[in-house]
Amino acid sequence: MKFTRAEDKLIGESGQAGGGPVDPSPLTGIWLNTDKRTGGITKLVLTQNDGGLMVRAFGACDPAPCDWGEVRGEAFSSGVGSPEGMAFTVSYQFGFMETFLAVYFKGGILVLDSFNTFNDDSGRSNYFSREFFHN
Amino acid sequence: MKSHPFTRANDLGVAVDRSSNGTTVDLSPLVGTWNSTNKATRGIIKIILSDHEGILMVQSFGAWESSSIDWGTIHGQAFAGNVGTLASVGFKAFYNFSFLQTHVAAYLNKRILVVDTYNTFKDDSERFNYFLRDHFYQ
Repeated sequence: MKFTRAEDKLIGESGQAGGGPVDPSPLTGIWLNTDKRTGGITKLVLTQNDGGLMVRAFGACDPAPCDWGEVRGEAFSSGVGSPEGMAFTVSYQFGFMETFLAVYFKGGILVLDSFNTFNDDSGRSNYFSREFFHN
Repeated sequence: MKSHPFTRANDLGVAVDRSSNGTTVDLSPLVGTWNSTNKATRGIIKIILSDHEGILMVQSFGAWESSSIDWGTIHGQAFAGNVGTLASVGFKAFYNFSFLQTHVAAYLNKRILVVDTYNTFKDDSERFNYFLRDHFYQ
């Protein structure tokens, strides 16, 4: 078995087969930004499809939120021996920009980090933002 | 005024005047050697961030017994705090090992570098894909 750090190691014998898809069900639901006046993502809708995670994000736009559409995300657990999802990543390709979302669950809140790369000639800086969601 | 496409309000705003600075995000807030605040971490023990002709270079070291595992140096991508500024506040990088892929997603919180890794196994080792968070100081 190969490792990059100690955390990659399985500790002890679980008595059951591990590996396979992480269960995304602990993450599913409708998540609303804790900041009602956010200029970022206003809502996340997380669902399960064929055992995998589907993500639909909505950006703060006027007069109504911008629906980013639904894409498949990847769920992650808290450790190599745990099947229970508590984090996910997802990428959106908009053409003029790309957004990578890295999200984890802590204390009843979803914490979302977004990494936004512009592919146009608008001169805008690629930017990072951090937001919080409740359900 | 030219209107730009956007996905949310934060995408809009006055772009930076790059006539004297080019187009790159300023890497200096990130550059340096960052050590884990947890000496007993089982995750990343150290990260070295450097500037190579305006490109962010990332070298990570994983905690392993009494020493560490050098993950090697790769290109990273730095990000500013908003569309109209240049100072970097975060970065991401992607390690593609033979048996594992690791997305590194990091940001500055005051003087602490917070590093989240999202780890996907590509082998049949029966390990679940996992998330891990580490904190670093200079």
